[in-house]
Amino acid sequence: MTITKTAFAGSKSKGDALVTISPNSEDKLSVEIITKPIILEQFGRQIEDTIVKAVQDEGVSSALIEVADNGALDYVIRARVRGAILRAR
Amino acid sequence: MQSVLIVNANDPKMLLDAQLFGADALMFDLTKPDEAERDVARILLQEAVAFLGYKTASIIVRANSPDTEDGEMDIKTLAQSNPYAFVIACSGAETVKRAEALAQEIEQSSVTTKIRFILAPDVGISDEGFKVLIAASKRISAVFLPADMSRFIHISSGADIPVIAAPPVNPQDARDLGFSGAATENGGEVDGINEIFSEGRCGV
Repeated sequence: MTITKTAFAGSKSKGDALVTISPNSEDKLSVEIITKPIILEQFGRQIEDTIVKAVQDEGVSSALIEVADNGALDYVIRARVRGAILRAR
Repeated sequence: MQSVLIVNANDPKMLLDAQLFGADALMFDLTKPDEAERDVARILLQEAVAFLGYKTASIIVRANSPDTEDGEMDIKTLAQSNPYAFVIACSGAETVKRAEALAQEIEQSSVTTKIRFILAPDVGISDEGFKVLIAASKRISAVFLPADMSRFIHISSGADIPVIAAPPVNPQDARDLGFSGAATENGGEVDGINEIFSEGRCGV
């Protein structure tokens, strides 16, 4: 599935993540994570894996995904990605 | 089930902290989030239950009215997480029957544990209306009432259905009035509820 409109889910509150999903002009998934440098350095790969897995589980093959993380656990990121995709459909 | 902690289902921090307070049951409230956020709250709660497990407490989901699209989606989505029960607000037996039909449909089409309901009747309901309400489904496992509706406790007890006091309520008053347990939105009050209700009364 290709994302054809922009949608978001979540918030910037502590423990949450604000996920924005939008169309990608290239036929691929592009992920941008916005968080503290130390978090990005230590957990960036893990967060990206969680995002990509959640997107793929929803059957999305092309999208730009921006995640502004404020200390969210994996399940929160996964839920917010699913929520954004639900709204983008 | 004597102490029930009510948790906003769209609050990741509360979802994480909820099991720290020692409540017998966690009532995840899908009516709390703004209407526009209920779609993503359902997903967040589903993921939280799968990830965090909440093995130390019974899981209750407070759904929007089954008469609404949100309520229907609440029950359909969260039934897959096998909660102990859904709290449903209802003004009459028609709502309970709608929820009953929905539960049957879900149970026939997917693998879930038996779906149960905890009824939260409207304030204006009559004694006769309340009797009809609690007889409308075999799935009713408890009733959720504010303290000023305690006159229904004897009717509910007669049908062997426990009654949980809705906040705000003083737990000692709730016990003295005959409630089986009490709910709170404040984790710090859970210990007090457990203490008051653990003195010999049977719960849900």
